[in-house]
Amino acid sequence: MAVHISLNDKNHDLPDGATVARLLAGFSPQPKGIAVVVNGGIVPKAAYETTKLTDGDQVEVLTFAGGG
Amino acid sequence: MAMDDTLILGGETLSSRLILGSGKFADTATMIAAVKASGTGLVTVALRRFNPDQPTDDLMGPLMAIPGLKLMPNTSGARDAKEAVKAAYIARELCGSRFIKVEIHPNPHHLLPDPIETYEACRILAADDFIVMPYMPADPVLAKRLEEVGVASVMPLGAAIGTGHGMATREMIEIIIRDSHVPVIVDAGLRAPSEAAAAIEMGCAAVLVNSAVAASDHPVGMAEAFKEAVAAGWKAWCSGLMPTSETAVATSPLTSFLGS
Repeated sequence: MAVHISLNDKNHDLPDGATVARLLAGFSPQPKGIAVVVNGGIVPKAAYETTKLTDGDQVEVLTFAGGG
Repeated sequence: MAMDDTLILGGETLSSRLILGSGKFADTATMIAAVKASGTGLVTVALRRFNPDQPTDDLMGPLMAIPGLKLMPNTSGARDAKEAVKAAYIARELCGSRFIKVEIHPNPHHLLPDPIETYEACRILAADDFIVMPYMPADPVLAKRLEEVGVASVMPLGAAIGTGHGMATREMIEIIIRDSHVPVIVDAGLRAPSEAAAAIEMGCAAVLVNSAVAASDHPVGMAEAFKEAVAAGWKAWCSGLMPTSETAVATSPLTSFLGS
C-alpha cells in the first residue's frame, strides 16, 4: 500500500504509515532550513516523527531563497 | 555626542545600520561574500517552495554559518494580510527569528505596498511577539498608525523596488522621521552609497539595500562602499550638520589685511 500525497503541488507516493520525518528523510542532501505545512497547518519540528501522512494530504515544504 | 553604531530593534541589538537583502545575486558564494563585506548584522530572505531536485539552493545553511548574523524573512509573494501572516508563522518556524519584514505588494508592475493589508498584517503580528518591520509607502499618516500597533520600525520606500531612483520620497521621509518614535529605515530605491549616507545624515536609523549591491558590477566592493557610507552618514548625524544660510558667510577674515 502506498500513500498518495501532493508535495508542493506534485503527486508524491510514500509507504503506508509514513510520517513527515519519513518524507523529509527522502531528500538528499538534507536541507538545513525547511518548514512543513500539511493541509494549511504548520507542523512543528517536534511533531515530524509523529505526524502521519494520509491519502490526499496537501503538503508544502518551504525553504529560504534570496530576497530583499 | 554618542557615536555608538549599534541599532536596537525590538530588543535585538545590531552592530550595523546597514541591512542587506539576499536576492538577485549571481550565486550564493557572491551573496555570502557581499554579506560579510557589508558588515551587516541583519539579512533579508524570502520563502520559497523547496525543490527536492535542487536541494543545494538552501540559503539558510551558509547564512547561519556567519557569526552573529540574524535573518529577517520577508512575506514577499503574499497578496494580502492573511497570506502575509501565514508566511510570517512559517518563517518563524523555519528559522526561529522574531524579525519579519512585512511586504505585501499585489501589483507586479510597480510592486508598491498595499497600505491597508500591510497595516492589518502588522497589527496581528505585532500582537504575537514578532519584531515587525513593514515595507510601506512613504506616508507619514500610515507610519504613525503602524507605530501605534507596535511595529519595531517603519520602512518607507525611497523609490520603487529595484529602480535605483534614490530618495524620490525624501520630503515625506523627512516628515516621518520628525514624527516617529520608532526607527525609520529607508527600504528600496537606493542606488549609490552616497544616497545611503544622505539618508542616515537626515535621521534615518538604517537603510535596507539589495539591488544596489547585487546588481552592481562588483557586489563585494559595493557592499564595502555601502558599509563605509552608512558609517560616515551616522558620524555626520551624530556630529550635527552646520546650519544653512540664505546668504554667504565668510570663513576667512575680510578686513585688516592690506592696512586699509
